[in-house]
Amino acid sequence: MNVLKVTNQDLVLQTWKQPARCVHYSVKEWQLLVRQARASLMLARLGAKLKPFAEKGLIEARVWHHFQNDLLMAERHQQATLYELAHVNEALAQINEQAVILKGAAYVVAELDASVGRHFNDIDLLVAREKIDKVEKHLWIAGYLSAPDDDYNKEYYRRWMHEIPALKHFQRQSVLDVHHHILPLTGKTKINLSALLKEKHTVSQFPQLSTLSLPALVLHSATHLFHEGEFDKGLRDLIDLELLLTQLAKQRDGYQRLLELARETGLTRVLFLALRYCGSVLAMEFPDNVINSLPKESEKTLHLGLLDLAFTKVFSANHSSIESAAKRSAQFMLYLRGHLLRMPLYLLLPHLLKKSFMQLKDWVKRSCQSEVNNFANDK
Amino acid sequence: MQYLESLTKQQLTSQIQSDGIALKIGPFNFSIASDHSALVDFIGKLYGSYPLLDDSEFIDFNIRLLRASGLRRYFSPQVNFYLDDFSPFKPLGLGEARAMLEWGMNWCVGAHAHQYLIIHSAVVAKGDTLVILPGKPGAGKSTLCAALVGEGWRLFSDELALVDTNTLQVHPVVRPISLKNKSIDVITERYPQFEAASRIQTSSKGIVSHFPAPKESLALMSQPLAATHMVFPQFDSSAQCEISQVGQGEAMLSVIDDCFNYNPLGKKGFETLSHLMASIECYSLHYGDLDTALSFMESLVSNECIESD
Repeated sequence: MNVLKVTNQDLVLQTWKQPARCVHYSVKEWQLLVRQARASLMLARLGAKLKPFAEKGLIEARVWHHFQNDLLMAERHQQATLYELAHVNEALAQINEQAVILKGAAYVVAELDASVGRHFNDIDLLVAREKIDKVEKHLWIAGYLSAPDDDYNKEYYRRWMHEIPALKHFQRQSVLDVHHHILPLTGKTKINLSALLKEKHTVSQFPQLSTLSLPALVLHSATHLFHEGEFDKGLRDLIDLELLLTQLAKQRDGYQRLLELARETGLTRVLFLALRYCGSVLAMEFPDNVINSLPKESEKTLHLGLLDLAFTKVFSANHSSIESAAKRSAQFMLYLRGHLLRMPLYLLLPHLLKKSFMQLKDWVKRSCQSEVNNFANDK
Repeated sequence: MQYLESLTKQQLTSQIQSDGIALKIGPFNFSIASDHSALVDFIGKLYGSYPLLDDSEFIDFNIRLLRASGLRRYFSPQVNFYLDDFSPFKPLGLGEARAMLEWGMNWCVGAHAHQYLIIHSAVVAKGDTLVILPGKPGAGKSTLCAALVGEGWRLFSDELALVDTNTLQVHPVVRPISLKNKSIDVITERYPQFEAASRIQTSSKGIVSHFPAPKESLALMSQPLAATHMVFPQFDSSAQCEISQVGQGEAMLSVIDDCFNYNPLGKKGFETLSHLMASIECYSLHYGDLDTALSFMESLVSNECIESD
């Protein structure tokens, strides 16, 4: 049932790039914007950007409530994240171990522009591989339990992936994703992790925890985004990059440090893609010497052409009003790409087959179980 | 002002099954769409006196109730609730679709409308007396609320008290009254004007029936009022009636658990609730029969009159 017509008018992107246009929006445009923004996790972020207009009374109260309430929730998530990090810090202090905070949680702790209006779910941590068993055991004692899972999934994680299965606190329901590397071990891209961690700094209020330098955070964010298979948060993540880059550009030699670190860590490819799409999708501008400093990456190959087509489609509002066959094809293509980047084909195919079989088994089991329940209730 | 009842059954069906029917419900504009025919009837019976909104109005919540697709369409059919593209709940059996609509609308308000402190409670008013009845499970607040409405009290809501965090006024979000199990018979016997629009067997709450809100209450759906009292009802058929005044601090601690969004509101939540509690009288009402409870509630109104002399 198609209730909302497909418009291909991406008001999230439009408003983010040109917020002043909002004063001329019709009711229908505000309607579409709120719906698209909520679905794309951009409602609070746009709220922060549109606040000056609201304060001048240029946005109708009924509409503004939606932005304001989402901003409130985003602030609440940030507080909850800091509270959770305090618990993690305490747990690690007891065994005198360290961890690096990654992604969203790092933006909050470092009070970066990218943290404003951002929603948070899991906390991502990086721990040295040889310490991971010890840390996991101690987090378990602190109440962070591994979700009950079957042997195949556990094996998949431990043997091939760069992270252990998610840990969920039994009481607070908060989730920790504990990594020992940035990318899967089976993946194609090999990163110089120690170079990435070189300039990390300890968080003053959490001595057991540290965050990466801003250039390293940019590279990590870009690595994550351009190795992804699913892009429902794609636009939000690209905007994370824009905000990080904009803040870095204000620092002395910001871009230079970024380029140097990219070369040292082996992450020039993802940096190139980040700059390319921040430029084409978000109209971000970069100094010429930055654009021209990655010549090898910018060779116009068929591969790059295809990536351009696909990424331009997926970096858009995650809402049914922006659906199209082209977008679905792009999503599928990038889904395959994501998988292939994580695992070579000879490992990937058996893995996907096994997962499909397990999901089918699970579905049959659940359907039969609900039939049994229905039957029991009818009695 | 056009009302839903002005539409023919055909028009109503066609709107619900395509773009959705747009209604003003208290401070919120809802759009409701569904591909399930039983809902058309339900909406027609319960929302007839609600104002229809035209295209020029901003919709706060776009709701859809859709039948689960695939095999599930025919094989123990289920229904899903969507706020726009997002489905917050597990699917329910098709027979529970009407209850799911009501629960879903409550969720929309409770999870998003943080311009209000939202207390899980019934809210009724008579003249300038406004009473909030917090809803501990099994306490009988819905039955008492329905009885008060039957006696002519104004219905603000049987589920949600919306306290404006700036003005502290309580805003009506008048919706159908829902009753469960034994209370359905108790109320319909006592107040024959109550006609159930549905009788649903649910998997979690037993039998649930919905009754249309009185037209007089709907006519005042945009008029907020300041709270004057909070009463904690507790029905116990074996017990003696016991009414006592409760300290404002103690009442506040009790009612925090009944707030949907006390935590998200943070400091503002504390300030709103504490200012609210400081301005009202609180009572605990343990009762074994409705008449006792009703006469106590009436006395709250007379007290107001006495005080103003």
